[in-house]
This record gives sequence, structure tokens and C-alpha cells, in this order.
Amino acid sequence: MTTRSRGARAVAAAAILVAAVSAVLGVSRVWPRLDTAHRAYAVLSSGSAERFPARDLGLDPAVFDFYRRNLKPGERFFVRAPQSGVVSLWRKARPWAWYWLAPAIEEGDLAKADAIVSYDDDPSRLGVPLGRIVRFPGKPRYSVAWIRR
Amino acid sequence: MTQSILLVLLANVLLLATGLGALPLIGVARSGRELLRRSGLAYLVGLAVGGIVAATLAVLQLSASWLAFSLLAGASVVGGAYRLRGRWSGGDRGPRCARIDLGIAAAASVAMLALVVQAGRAFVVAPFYDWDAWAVWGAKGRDLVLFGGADPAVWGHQWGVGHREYPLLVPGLEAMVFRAVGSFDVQVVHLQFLLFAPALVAALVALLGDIVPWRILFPILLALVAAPGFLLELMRAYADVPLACFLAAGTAAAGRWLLRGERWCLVTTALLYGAALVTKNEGTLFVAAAYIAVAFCVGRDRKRLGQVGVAILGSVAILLPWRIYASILHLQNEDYKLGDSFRLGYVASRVGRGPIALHDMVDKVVLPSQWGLLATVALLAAGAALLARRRMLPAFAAAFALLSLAGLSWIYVISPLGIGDYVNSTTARVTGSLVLSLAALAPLMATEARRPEES
Repeated sequence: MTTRSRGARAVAAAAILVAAVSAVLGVSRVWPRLDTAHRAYAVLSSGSAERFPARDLGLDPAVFDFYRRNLKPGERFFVRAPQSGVVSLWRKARPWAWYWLAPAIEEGDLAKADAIVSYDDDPSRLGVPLGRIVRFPGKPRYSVAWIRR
Repeated sequence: MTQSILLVLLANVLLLATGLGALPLIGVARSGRELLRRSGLAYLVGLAVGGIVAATLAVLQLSASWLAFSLLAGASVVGGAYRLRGRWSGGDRGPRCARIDLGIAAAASVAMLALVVQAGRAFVVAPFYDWDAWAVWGAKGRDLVLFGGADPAVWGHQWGVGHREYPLLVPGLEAMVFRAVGSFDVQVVHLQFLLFAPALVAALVALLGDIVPWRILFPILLALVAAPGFLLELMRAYADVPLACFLAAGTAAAGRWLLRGERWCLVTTALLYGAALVTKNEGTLFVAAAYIAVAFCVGRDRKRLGQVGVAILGSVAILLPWRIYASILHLQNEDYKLGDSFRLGYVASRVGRGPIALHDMVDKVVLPSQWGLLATVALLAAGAALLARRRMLPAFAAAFALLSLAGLSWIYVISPLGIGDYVNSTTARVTGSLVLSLAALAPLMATEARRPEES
């Protein structure tokens, strides 16, 4: 065996040694993180797990459940929410509504929408003729308003 | 919860059966003995085939129901059995392992199993706790169930959050889980992501276990599974690690094909790279980089170049239904437009972003808290192979890595997104495909270094 091939074997052996060290370091880092995750999430009911992102965004999941009860599958809704601030309520409410209210369909163009979903806002300020409006009990600025065509 | 877990596992048994039947059909196994030896590939191949079928059915507005997955598994098993027609013998008997190899393999397997079980406890209770998990991937999985496929009324409506332009393999698998358990169980669906871990390990054992000593293979496999970015990124329910798994196994198969020219390896590469293309848009970049690297290593050998060409066509054909659908609906990438590459003024004003992104990606590649020491392992293995004058695989790995990093850097250059946030939120996970692929080549390179010199 030449010096070169002995060197190659030594470097290959070093690679395996580093792999073993990597495995040990990895396990010591990953194992407790998985443990922490288990402890944090095992307490969640399936309902609160489903609504976890809404709570994480600082939105009220009960309001979105209310929207969901009132919208029909396939209905197109426009999301109305305050747009001020670095990360506005609108920037949070719109994607969550899009996710949570399916099979109703989020619509960015008010002219094509069947209804306006308002989160802490007044749908009448949009200037379109409104028909029936249902408001979340005790929170009048949270509503579903159908557009009169 | 227990019932839901069992239903998810049952759905995955169908995928395993699909993969097992597919192995003879695509020429990976030509006899019962070969099927047994390469059966480790079955589950990852099943995930690929099942995911590709689910994604394609979604594009055709058809739902991938229990019935569809059962029919797929049945057809695959019957087709595979017919292909073998009772042939048992054929191919060699496989490796005879020394005791030390068996011991190392057993110890590493126990450690990997313990880690996956520990992960399972967390995965089956985790909600969608990161943005893309629900806004990008989970939402599409739900919509595939609610609308019975990729309804153009929903998919054609793109407004900058949901990445509707991403292909549908992962949402297709999520939809499979939702249908299997009969509800949108956002916790149990994580199990589908965790199953990519054993799928990758088993595939790499099947691809490399007969030519790489287990004392080399298993420590690297354990390092891969234990790398923090592997299981923790999988738990986020993003598509990056599933993409990395398809790429890593495909790259290991490509590496073996470069060394030994076995046709079944290139077929495996074509299928797994095809699955990578249907998993995430970045898959196109990595697959292109890998195929260019393979072609570079093949050199002027026209016959082998032709085989690579056929493999490329196979991979691209898998993506074609989605590309046609996306172009009909004018789905655009939300984060960047490749066309901006030709706006010279635009590119000139942003070219300084490239080094920032490259620096951050290299940092993430070598960061022990992200991908362990996998990059170092690959580098050492490549160095060892070079020392032994085995240049093929180090050249493949280097070309693949350089092209991937260059391509990713270019995306950061042309993207209109703020470089700081974009880099911070993406580099740790997008580098996974590169690191895992290099790690999958490492056992082959280390083995090459130990091969006796040819006189």
C-alpha cells in the first residue's frame, strides 16, 4: 500500500469519525427539542391545534368560526380589516380567512365578491350596497355582510 | 388519535406496496432475490409514485381517494409480480458483512429508531406552528380535499401568499392523510412528514448497502438523521426536507451509476428527481444542477450521455402536467421572476445581494446546529477519494454543489424581496437539499478511497 493510499484511507476514516461525532452532537441537540415540542403541544386539543396559527397571529379564532358558520361553500368573500401598522390586522386576517373559511373562496377584487368579512372594521365604508349583515355577538365590528347585486 | 395514526400508517402501507410493485416495473429488480435486496427503496419510490399520481390527479380535477391509492397499489403489485413471473434467482447474493459491520449497523439502526420514535411523539401532537405549513402547504392539502382537486377557480386566484405556483406532491400526500383520517387533522398529518426519515434511510441502504461497507454507511446515515435540520425541519411540515430526501436518494443513485453504469440506478435517479420536480420549484434548480454535473462527469461518452438525456426526459415528463396547468392559469413565482435575469440594469443594481446570500448559505451549510457536520463529512470523503485518485464522485459533488449555490445565489439576486428577511427565512432550509445530497454521496466517496489501487 502506497503512502498516498494510506493517506486516503486515513482521511476516509476521519470522515467516519466526524460522522460519529456529528451524530452524537445531533442527538444531544435534537432529542431535548423534540421533548420540549412534545410537552408544549401534547396539551392542545384537536380544536385548539387547528386554530393554533390564528392565535399565534393574535386573531380571535371564535370570530373566524363565526364567519365559517355563515358563509356557504363556494361563496366569494372580500376581507376588510384595518391596514395600519407594520404588520396590519388585514395582513394577518386575510391569509387566515383564506385558509380557514374554505370552501368559501377569498376574493381580492371587491367587484367579484359575494360578501364582505369584516374584522374590526366597518363594511359600509367600502361604498358598495349591502344586503343582510350578521354581526358577531357583542362585537359589532366583526361581521359578514352580503353585497346586494 | 391512535385510530388516526393507524389509518395514516395503513395509507402508507399502500404506498409501500406501490413502491414494491414499481421496483420490478422500472427495472430496479429483475428477480425475487433482487427485489428483496433492493426492497429498502420501495417506500421512498412509493412516496414518489403515490405523490406524483396524487399531484397529477389533482391537476386533472380528480381526487386521490382511498380507492385511487388502493387501485394504484394493487396495479403496481400485480404488474410487478407479472414482470418477475416467479423468477427468484438472478443477481448476486449481496454483501457478506463482518461482525463489526453488523454491530455498527445494529447500533446505528437502534439509535435512528429511537430518534424517530422520540420525534413521533412530538410530530403527532404538533400543530401547524409555522406560516408556510398552513398558508402554503396545509392550505393546498385542504383545498385538494374540499374542492376535489386543484380547482382553477381557487388555484387561478393568486394574490401573493399561498404560493399557488408550487407543484402538488406534498399537498397531495397531505390530502391523502386528511382523506384517510376523515378530517383535517393538522397534528397527525405531521406523521406523513416524519415518514420521509425512514424512507430515506432505507433507500440509501438499498442503494449503497451492497457496495459500501456498513461501518462507513451507517455512521453517516445516523449523522444524517440526527442532523438538527433534518427532523426539526420535517416537523415544521414544509416541503424542503421531503424535496431534499428525493434529491439525496436520487443523487446517491446517480453517483452509483457514474461508478458502475448500472441502468437501474439511473432509472431510480430519473424517478426520484422527477418527484423532486413535483415537490417544490427549487427542485428544478437542484435537478438541473445535478444532471449538468452528471453530464459533466460522463464527458464525451456519447452512449452514457444519451442515457442521461433519456433520464432527463423522464424526469421532465413527470413535471409536465403541472407545468401545463400552471401556464394555463398563468401562475407566476411569487418570490422572483426568472425573466428579470435579462433586465441588465435591474440585475446590475442588485448584484451585491449575491455574495450576501452565498455567504449566508455557506454559513448554514457548515453550521453544526443546522446540518450537523454533514458538510465536513462530505468534504473529507471527497478529499479521501481525490487522494486515492478517484476523481469521478468528487467532481460530481463539486459540480453539483457549485451549480446549486450559484443558482440559489442568482435567485436571491433577482428577487425583489428584501435580502435580509429573505435570506434569514430561507437559507437554513433550502440548503438542506444540497447538504443531504452531498452526505448521500459521502459513503460512496469514502469507499472509493479505500478501494485498492488498480495496477
